[in-house]
Amino acid sequence: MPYLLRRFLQSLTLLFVLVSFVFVVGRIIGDPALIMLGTSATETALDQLRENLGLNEPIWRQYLVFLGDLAQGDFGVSFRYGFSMMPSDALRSEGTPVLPIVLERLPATFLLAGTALVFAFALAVVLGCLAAMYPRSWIDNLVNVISLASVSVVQFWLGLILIIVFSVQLGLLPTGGYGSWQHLVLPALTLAARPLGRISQVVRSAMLDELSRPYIAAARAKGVPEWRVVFVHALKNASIPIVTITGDELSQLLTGAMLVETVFAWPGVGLLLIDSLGRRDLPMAQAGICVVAALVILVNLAVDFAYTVLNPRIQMDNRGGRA
Amino acid sequence: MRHTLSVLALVAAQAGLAQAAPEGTFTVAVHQEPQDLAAQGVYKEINAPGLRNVLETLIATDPETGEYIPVLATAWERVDDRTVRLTLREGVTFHDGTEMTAEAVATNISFIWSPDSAFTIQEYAGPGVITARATGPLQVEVSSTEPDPMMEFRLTLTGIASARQIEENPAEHFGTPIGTGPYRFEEWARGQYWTASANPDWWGLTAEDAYGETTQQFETLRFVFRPEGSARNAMVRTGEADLATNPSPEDCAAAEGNDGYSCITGPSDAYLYGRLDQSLHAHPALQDMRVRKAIFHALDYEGIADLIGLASVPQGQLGTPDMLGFNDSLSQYEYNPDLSRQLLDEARADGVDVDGLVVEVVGRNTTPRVGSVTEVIGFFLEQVGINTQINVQLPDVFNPRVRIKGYAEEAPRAMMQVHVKQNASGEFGTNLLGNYACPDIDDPSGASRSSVHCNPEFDEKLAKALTLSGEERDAALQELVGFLHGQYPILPLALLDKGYLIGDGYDFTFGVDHRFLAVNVTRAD
Repeated sequence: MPYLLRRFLQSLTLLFVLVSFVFVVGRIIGDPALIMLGTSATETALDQLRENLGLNEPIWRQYLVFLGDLAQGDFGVSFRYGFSMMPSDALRSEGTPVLPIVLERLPATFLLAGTALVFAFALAVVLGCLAAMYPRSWIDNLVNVISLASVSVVQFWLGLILIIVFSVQLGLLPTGGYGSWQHLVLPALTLAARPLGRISQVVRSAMLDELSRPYIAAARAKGVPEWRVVFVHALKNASIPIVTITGDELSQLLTGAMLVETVFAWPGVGLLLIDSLGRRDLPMAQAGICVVAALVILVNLAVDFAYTVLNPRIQMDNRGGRA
Repeated sequence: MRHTLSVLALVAAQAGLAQAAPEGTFTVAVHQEPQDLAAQGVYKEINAPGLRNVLETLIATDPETGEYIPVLATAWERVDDRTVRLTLREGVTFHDGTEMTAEAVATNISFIWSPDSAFTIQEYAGPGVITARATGPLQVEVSSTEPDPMMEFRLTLTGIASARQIEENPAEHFGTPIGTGPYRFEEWARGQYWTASANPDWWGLTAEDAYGETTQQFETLRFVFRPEGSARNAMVRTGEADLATNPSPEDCAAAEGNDGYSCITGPSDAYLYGRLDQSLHAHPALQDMRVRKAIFHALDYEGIADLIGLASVPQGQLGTPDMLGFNDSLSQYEYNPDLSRQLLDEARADGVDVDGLVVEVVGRNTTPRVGSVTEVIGFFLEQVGINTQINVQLPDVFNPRVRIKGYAEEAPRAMMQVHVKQNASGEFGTNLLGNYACPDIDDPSGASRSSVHCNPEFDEKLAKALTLSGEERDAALQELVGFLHGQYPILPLALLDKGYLIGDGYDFTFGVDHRFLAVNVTRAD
């Protein structure tokens, strides 16, 4: 079976397991009706919601209905988002479908995660290459300190520190919000810290390995300019681990954006998810988790696709291992 | 830190501004995005902070006196124990240009309180179903299917929106409120903010019996959603916001001596209490009055309030002086560890198993500073010789234990539940019912399901008091509050304050309900 087809099927299986997990968790944490309506809800309202959501059906039937709805892109309706009512037959049709709301928030999350990744990737490549070019020098040490600090710093704390420095003390940027490039700077910087550290470490390691190979010595002997040796020849051959870690970091960014979006009031999926959990909006939370999970799986699939482009030798052997 | 309690009506200070045109934007950084902006949600400020600037009620409660004051209704009277007749203000129009008629008001009331609508305001529903009908062009009768002495209170919670919108497009009214208030709803950018602009046709500019002599100072009100407290703090410090809600005690402390902004605080309708198992399924030692009294006098309430930060010491009861039924003759239990020790010795001498008693001080993890508070309570009790065990639990563990069923299952129990409760009803009636009426294990959803107190004589008097209204009700509730004070059932630990960070350019006055009304914001200059 071709490598990409196999990976695609694996991803589908993973997605299936994940949505099943979301369903199970939604049931084992307690009565979904009670979770949504809260402990002050009357028995009548609870019964009505259970009836409306099919919660009185056997669990296996609920599961099949859940999967069937999901296959049609129906994650249910929210009675918490945009509505303050408990579900009644009279106004049942007024519930807000949750999937469009989650999708509406995706561009903001993409913008934030994309900007953070581009910034982190560009800077990490430069720093990693510099460190590899001058191993054990003060440059290498500085890059190591920067990368370790970036990986170790708590995003929540970093975000608040950036607000205090750049907004409160210097007055250069807004404390949060959405709508202009100025609003993007601080959350993107905060989110970029971790990938910057991890990617620069991998770049340094992969480049050190490449720069010690004979073909690099040959290129240098031929008088190829050093920048070309490093950034063209060596970097291209070091790209597979870099792409791997970058893909992994993009997945992390999508999930890690949650905290950053909360600190900076960035209206993305993460903030929506946190709000939904706070409001006990189970359908919205389920939709948010499934969409983010699907994106992470998609990103990983894209990374696998990128492998085959960067290194066409990657094939699958008969046992499914990578050759 | 400034400590303030407002008057709803603005006074002469604003008179000179009456003719000034509204200008600028007043930005409020709020801690959460509203679930919706529907009229039914105005009953609780936390649902949608600031929404009362757009949607108004028929009558309101004066936060200082606790009396009802006119808003969209100019007068009201009791027809019988189930019905209130209201006279509406003349010449009021909704923001969509339609007139506020008796029919429109009746439509609103019936819609909001209908069990079919099943709105969250049902948590304040009375004993019967409330409906309304127009009995004249400006006259409405609001009725309940059961006698309801608190009907006027329920009307203070009921937001009035455009009836045309409710009838023609009910779904829209959740996100696009059309009211009668000083500000017209403009935009709700989901996840970011909502805005409203000054309504030049607002009736309140010329009617002084509601808000006093008022003016609209701001062209735009902007409510920005910032869940993170430090970020809200930063918004005020940078001038991005003029007011920020729910600062932490640390934020308020940091504001002292800072240029550009300050912290203002005032009492709220929330209180922290320690509910002590003491009848029904309690440990025998806790059924002895002397032991309970010893516990009450073992705690340093001033210290606990200081520990919490934004809090004050209650006056020996679970409420504030503006509430109907508040007993002004009471005072907080004295911190007197010597008296506690003496009482315990007396109980021991009479054979009470004081030394076998282990009081489990349990807090819910959602309560502010619950870890420190439970620890300090345990410390004070140990100091007088009472053994304790400290626990902080998640709501799904804590809540069932609070209910009568959980209590019965753990008998004999010696637990002090440290918990926060809010009483927005403006009176002690629901408070006494919820906290002190004998619970019925066969009715797990009953009003007193979390009560650990049972005294049939008290229940009889309470049931009678709840049928009364006005001064009679006040007097009856006061008597019951006084009676309970001497029974030592629930420790009033602290009244929780709420605060705001505010830019130096402004003053803001508010009541215990902490409603944000722009007419109560004045420019400091």
